[in-house]
Amino acid sequence: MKNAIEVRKLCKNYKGFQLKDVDIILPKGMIMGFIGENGAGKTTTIKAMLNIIHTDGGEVKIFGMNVKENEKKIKEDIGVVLDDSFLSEYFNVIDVNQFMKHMYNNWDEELYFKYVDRFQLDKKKKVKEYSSGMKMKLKIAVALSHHPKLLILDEPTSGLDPVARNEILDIFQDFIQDEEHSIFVSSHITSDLEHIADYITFINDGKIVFTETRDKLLETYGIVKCSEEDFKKIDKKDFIKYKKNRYEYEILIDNKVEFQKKYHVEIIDKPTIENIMLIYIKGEK
Amino acid sequence: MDIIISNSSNTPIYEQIKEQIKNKIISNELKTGELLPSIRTLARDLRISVITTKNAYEELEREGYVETIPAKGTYVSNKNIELIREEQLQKVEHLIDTAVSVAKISNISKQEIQDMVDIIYGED
Amino acid sequence: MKTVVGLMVKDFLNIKSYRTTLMFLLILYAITSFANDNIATFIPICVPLIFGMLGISSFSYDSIAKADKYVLTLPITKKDMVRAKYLYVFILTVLGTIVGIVLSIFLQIVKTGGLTNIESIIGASIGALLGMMVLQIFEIPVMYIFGAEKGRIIQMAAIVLLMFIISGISILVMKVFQISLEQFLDILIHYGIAIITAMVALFYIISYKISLNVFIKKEV
Repeated sequence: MKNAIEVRKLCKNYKGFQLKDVDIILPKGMIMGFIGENGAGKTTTIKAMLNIIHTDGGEVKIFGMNVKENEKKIKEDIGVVLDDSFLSEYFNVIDVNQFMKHMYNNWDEELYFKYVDRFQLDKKKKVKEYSSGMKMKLKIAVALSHHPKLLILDEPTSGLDPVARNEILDIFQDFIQDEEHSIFVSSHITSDLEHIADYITFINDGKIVFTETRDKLLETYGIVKCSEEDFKKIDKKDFIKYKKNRYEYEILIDNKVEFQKKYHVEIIDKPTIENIMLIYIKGEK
Repeated sequence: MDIIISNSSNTPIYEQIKEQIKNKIISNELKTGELLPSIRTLARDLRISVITTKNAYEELEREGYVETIPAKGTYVSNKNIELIREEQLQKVEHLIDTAVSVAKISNISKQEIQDMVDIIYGED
Repeated sequence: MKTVVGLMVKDFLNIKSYRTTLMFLLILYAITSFANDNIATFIPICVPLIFGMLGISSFSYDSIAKADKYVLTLPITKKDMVRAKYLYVFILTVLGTIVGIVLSIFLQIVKTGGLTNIESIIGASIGALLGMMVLQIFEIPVMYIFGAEKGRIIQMAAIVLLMFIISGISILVMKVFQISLEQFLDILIHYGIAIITAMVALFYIISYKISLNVFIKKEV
C-alpha cells in the first residue's frame, strides 16, 4: 500500500452544485492540505470520501481498499474531525470516553485522558460550555485516541486563535513522525498549511484545480507585477492567470526561472498559497 | 546544531537546509559518521514539510556529504572528504578566476591581488 | 452488537442531565395521584408516557449536535444506528412501564396498606406500553423522514390522525359486525391484548424497516 487515500473521478450532483471528476492521491506518510473557498466542495468531498453521502460516480480507496466495501475496517483506522458536528452538546470528556470505548476496538482510554490533560480540557464542563478552541481540541483528542493511521480533518483550525492553531499544527507534526501515518486536512486558512503540508490540493467550484507539492508551489510559482504595457508583451501560454488591479497587473506563473530568462521583468514576488488561490479564483486568462 | 530558516528568502527552504548542513560538514562541526536528525524529526522541529527536508537530504546524499542507511538513519559520509575538498577547491578557483578577470579589465596588478588575499586570509 | 450498545449508551448519557427533572416529575405525579386518588390509572399511564417521549427526544439531542454526520465517521453502519435507536426507545418505554408499576404499587400500599387492584395497575401499564409503542411506530419514521425539527410538528398531526384512524377502524368494525361499544370493548379486553400485542410487534418491525430504508437513502 503506497497511498493512504486514492480518490478517482469522484462525482456528486446537488441542485446548483456538483463535484466533478475529483482526483486526489495522498501518499502514505504525508500531509495534504485541501484548500478552497467556502462552498468550493471541500466538505462534500470529505463526506463522499468517508461514504457518509452517496456519490454519483467515481471510486474512493483508503489504505488501498474500496471504502464502500470495507467501510468498518477502514474506519477503525481513521480519525475524523468535522467542523460543525460532534456527539452531543451535553457530554463531558468522561461521557465521550464512555461512548467511544464502545465504538473503536483500539480505543485507548489512557491515551485519551493523556490528550485531555495535555489540552487542558475541563473534565466537568459540558461540550456546549466549551469555547470553539476547546471543542476542536476535544475532537482532535478523540480522533487520535484509537491509534489511527490516517487523520481526515475538515477545517480544524477555523475559529481558533493563533496560539491554539499553532498547538494543533504541533500535534499534526507529532502524528506524522510515524511514516505509516498520513493527514488529509481541509482549510480555508491557507497560512496554516503553508509550512507543514507536503502537498496542496486546490478545489474550486467542485473541480480540482491542481495538486502540487508545497515546495513546487512556493518555490517555482511566482507572481509577476507589471504595467499594462509590459503585460501586453507576455505570451498567453507563459502564464496561468492574470488579475488586473487598479495600478498594476498581477500575473501568476508556474516557472519563475524560465519566465525571468525570457521576459526580464522587474518584480516576481514569492507567492503565498493565498495569493495563488486568489488569482486562480478572481483572475482571468 | 543550529539551522536557521528564512521564509521570506528567495532561496528555497530545502536549499537553505542543504547549504547549512553542508557548511557544518565542511567546517567539521558535523563530524564524519555523525547521525543527522531523521527527516521527520527535522521537519517537525523546523515546522516545515517532510518533502522539504527529504529533498534537502537527497541532495546532500547525491553530492556525497551524507549517506542513508535504511531503517537506521542518515549519517555524515566518511568517504568523500577528498571529494569535498576537491569541490571546494574548484569553487575557490572559479571565484579567483572571476576576481582575476575583473582585475585584468581594471588594470589591477597580480601583486595587488596577492596582497589582498594576504590581508583577507590573514584576518580569518 | 458492541457498537449498537455504544450508540444506546450515547442516548442514555444524553438524558443523564435530565435526571433531576425526571425525579421531580415523578414526585409531582406521585403527589397529585395520591391526592386525587387515581394512583392505579394515572401513574401507570403517565410514567411510560414521559419515558417514551424522552426516548423520542434523542432525535433532538442528535440534531442539535449534528451527531449523525459525526457518528457515521466511526466504524459503524447506518443499520446499527437505526437499530440502536429503536432498541433505545423501546427499552426506555419498557423501563418507564416498570417504574410506573413499581411506583403505583408502592403508593397504593402506602395509601391503603394493602394491594387490591394489582390487576388494574398491570392492565393500565400494558395498555400504556402498547399505546406508546403504537405511537412510536409512527413517530420514529416521521423523525427519520422529516428530521427532529419538522418531525415534532408532524408528529402532533400524526397523533391526531392516528386517533381518527383507530376510532374509524373501531367504528367500522362495530358497524360491520353489528356490535355495540360495550361488546366491542369486551371483545378487546378478552381477546384483544394478544392480537394487539402481535400487531404492535409486527408493525414495530415494519416501522423499523421503513426507518432503515429512509435513513440509508438519506443524506446527512
